[in-house]
Amino acid sequence: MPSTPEIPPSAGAILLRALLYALAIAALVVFAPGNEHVFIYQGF
Amino acid sequence: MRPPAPAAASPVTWLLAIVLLAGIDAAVTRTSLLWGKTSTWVKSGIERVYVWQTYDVARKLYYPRRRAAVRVVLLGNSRIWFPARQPFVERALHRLDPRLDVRVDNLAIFGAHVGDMEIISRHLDRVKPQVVVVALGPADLVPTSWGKIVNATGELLDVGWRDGPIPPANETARVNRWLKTVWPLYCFRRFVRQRIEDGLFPYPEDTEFPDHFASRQDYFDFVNDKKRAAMVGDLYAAWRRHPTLAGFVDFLGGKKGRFGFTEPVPPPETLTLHSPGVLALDRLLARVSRQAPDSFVLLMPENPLLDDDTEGLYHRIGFSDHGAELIRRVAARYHVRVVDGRHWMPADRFVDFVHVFPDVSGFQDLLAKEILHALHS
Repeated sequence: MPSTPEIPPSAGAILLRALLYALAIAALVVFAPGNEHVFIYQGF
Repeated sequence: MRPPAPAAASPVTWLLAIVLLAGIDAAVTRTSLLWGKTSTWVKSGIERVYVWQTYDVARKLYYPRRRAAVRVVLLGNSRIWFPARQPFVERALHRLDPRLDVRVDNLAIFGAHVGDMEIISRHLDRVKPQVVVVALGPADLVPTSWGKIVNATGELLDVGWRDGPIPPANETARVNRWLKTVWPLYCFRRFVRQRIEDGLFPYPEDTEFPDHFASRQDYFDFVNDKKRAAMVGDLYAAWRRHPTLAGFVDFLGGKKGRFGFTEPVPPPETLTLHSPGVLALDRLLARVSRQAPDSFVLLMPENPLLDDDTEGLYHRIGFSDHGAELIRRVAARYHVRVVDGRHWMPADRFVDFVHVFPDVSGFQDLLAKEILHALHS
């Protein structure tokens, strides 16, 4: 029995999903732990 | 009929996500969304102080500024942050040469040591200065309880493919630096986070540092609350009537503070040409002299009252001269001029033993003369 050709995802679905990924990565970069320091300068 | 393939797994989705991420990155790191804060004089917490001061430096490097034919960059710490604010120095330069189209970028950060300055110098190609003033005190070459060779301030701006003179602590730190080098949003993420935090929980008391002080009391009023400002003003006036070392110590609080009145540096002989701080200075001056050959090192003013401290109660005797000599030897390797400003100012120009008053001290006039000398050499 011949297989049914796969239907590609719609452009809207791709755009939405890509935007979600991009925002998620940006949020992860900004809010992931890191760059916290113990500031030791007490002289001033 | 089969349902449509999910977009989640499509390579097109991921490619588009990368493009969109680049767009988000640019929309944040190249616009006022990130760089729109100008009120970076903050009094609430040392953490916010260092973040916003470093942000201020990054903004001068990465956000468009007024164009000028001549660009002068100042590297250093609080000792030059206060008395060489851009408006002070630009006004002084214009008094000496009214036709000079000049912009001064003060890239100093409180507590910065030579390693921090070396890191900031890696960004200088953003400004392409004609003259870089490396404003140093010999104490900036050594790690102390006041600060390491590289501090949190420097770490925030640490970029580059090659290791700096102070090697990264581990592989994670090295990869972290590489990521910062290629990815602006990653590099400035701490600033983005702080912008969001401050947007959600504003600090109305954040303000801009004044571009003019009419008097010493004007300065005391700005940095202190009203009650304390009056008290500090009275103590300072009392010292002016009896301008002795002991009187100045009284003005500063009457006794050695927890961390002392001057940076607690080690014995002079422990600082050598092979010390990490001196190696960082070497790398800094090599870069600066290559990018802006007329640059110079300015040894920052020291309060002459310390000459009366013959017992070494308030400072490490001999360290300044020893450090200055090492700085001269490193500078000579790159033909960088060293201006010894340690004795530039009388005691009444000082807020403490190492900081001179902004604007009213006149420090900016002496600095402007040296900058013009460098430009015309």
